[in-house]
Amino acid sequence: MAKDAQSSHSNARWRHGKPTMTDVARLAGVSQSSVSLVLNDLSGTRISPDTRLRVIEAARQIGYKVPSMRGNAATGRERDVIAYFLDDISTNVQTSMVLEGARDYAFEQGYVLAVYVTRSNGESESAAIAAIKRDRSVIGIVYASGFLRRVALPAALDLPVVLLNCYDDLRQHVSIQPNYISGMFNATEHLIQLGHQRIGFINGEPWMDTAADRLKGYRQALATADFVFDPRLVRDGDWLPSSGYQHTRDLLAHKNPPTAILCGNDQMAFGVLEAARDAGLKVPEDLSVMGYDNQDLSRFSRPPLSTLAMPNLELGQRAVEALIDIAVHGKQPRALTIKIEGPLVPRASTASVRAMRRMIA
Amino acid sequence: MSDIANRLGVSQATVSLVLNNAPGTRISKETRARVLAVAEELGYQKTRFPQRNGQVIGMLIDGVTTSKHVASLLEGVRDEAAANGFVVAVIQTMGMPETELAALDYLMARPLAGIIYASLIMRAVKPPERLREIPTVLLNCHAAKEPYSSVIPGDFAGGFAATSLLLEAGHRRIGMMTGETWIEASRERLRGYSEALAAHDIAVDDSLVVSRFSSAIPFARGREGANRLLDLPNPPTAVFCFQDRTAAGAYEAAYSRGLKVPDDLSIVGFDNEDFSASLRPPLTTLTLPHDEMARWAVQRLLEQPDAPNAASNAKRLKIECPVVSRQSVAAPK
Repeated sequence: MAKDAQSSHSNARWRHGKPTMTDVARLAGVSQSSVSLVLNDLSGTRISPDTRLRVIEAARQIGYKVPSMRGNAATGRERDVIAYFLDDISTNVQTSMVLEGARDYAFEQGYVLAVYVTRSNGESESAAIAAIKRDRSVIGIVYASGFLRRVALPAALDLPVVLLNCYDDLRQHVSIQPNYISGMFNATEHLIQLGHQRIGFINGEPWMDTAADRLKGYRQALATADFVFDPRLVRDGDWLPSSGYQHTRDLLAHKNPPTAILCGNDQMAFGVLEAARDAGLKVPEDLSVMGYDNQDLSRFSRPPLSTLAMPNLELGQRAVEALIDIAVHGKQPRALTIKIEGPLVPRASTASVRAMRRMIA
Repeated sequence: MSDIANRLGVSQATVSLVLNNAPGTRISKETRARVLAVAEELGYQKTRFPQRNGQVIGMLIDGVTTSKHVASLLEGVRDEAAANGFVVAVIQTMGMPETELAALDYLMARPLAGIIYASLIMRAVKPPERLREIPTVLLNCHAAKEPYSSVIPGDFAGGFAATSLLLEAGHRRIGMMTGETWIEASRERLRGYSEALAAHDIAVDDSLVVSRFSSAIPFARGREGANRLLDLPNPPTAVFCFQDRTAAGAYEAAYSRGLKVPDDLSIVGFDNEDFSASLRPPLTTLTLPHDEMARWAVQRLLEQPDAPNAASNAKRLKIECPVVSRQSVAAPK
């Protein structure tokens, strides 16, 4: 295992577990598939000797070891499949990113992921469970949802289960979730640190857990900065650009309009940018705008959108990690609910209030 | 369990005794049967929490006295811990360093997930050095120079919100009765009061702020302070009280003068104590977010940061005190 590398100084960055192929790829400046081809020594590939060297050097530097070293052939290990239940694969891009994080980590640990997309349909789930039970190579189940919600788990799962992006009332299983509360806290704090005192907030649909959590984070950040929560600055959107557009027009019509608008997702923030443009306001000179979830497009908006990234790959990784810990090593994680924060991605759509004034002057 | 208790009009303790099949209790067969029937009807499921590696969460608190607030701190910690499979060992230390060390000796000899270091009254604390060895979160107290995460109520914003409520109702002469001056929450709420007035371009009139009283009993202070304010040549039309008990005293002062609340005097309290909804008229007040604070503290404790108690990981959080609007505020005459 990669234990020996843990002490090396260069490895200090990989605090959240072992280095992954993605880390090697980033360091070597090549695609992850190139890394996989080189380190797995696959024949018939056309990788230049130079690239091959770079990859091997990068892997050595951060102490990455190819998982197949302890693969099945050597140990004769038979239990090497993780069943991954998913309600819907096309809900959003994040769903597949999370799945990718799970798959990569599983692969690195010598497991394969068998994905069952069930639409949370009872029959479909029962069929999948029956299939899993026939298959003695399955170590356990990652039960995932496309958006954070409460689920009713199918009965008679006598395998270890880790919930991903969902939770059950009985709290019988470990649940890995994105931390929307601290995420929105950090996003709001970013704007407060820039000197904004009136921060409009266009949230998502209020019936969703994730919207309630986002609102909580926004309010906690305000309270921490000694600001009074003003409900007139908060709007319930529907995650789509059009609601960002509409609510922005409304917020800007206020007699004391906000100097910054924060959105529950990037899509609505795109609507805010458009509304600002139509109102003749410049972003960020006249209005700071902030999204949430760091969609691909957010780098390309005008101006590029400041946002908060979702920890998608890490969510998948942590779920598989927890499942292996429980199912293989008999080790329970510290908490039953593990919430993961994503990093702040400041781009050009937010500016300090002072800078705004300077730009206007 | 509280749903079942409410439905039957029995105490929650009774429900708990029946459902947990506690031995040696004197509950009639009839009550037992009724509890079980309602439990089934409401679909009550006894929650079974997996135990976490035999670890417990230790909670040190200075005292628990008669304040009902401490109950929500203790229960919030207990519930969030239970939801994660932990039990909580609470030790009262009176805030005495020797007792704290003895408590830590006792707790740290056992499998311990971490420590919630709590205070009954919100204040700055100096926790024992030994806590650095173990994940620790400060609850209802704070320590600027220490590496611990902490969570306290947003008292400043609470004072601001309470005063803004009166300003928005149209009041311009607003009195304030503070708590004892050594209490940080009182100073913060007073600061919120002053800033809210400033935001409406109103200068603070010192004669409207009562902070010295002849009694230490909140009810008596409220009566005394309100009488003093109402004796002024130009008395306030509204008063913001540091706590509900002070507000209750202000009610009495108003009524003894034949004044009506809120027609002649609007009153806002703080704490949302049980009795505040039963005053006539029901008191507009603010709630201390002790449950949310306690849960946050436990979640933070269990988040397992890479370096527990590293100053860079410390989060210092305030949670807002929501306004509970009832009927003690009206426009001035």
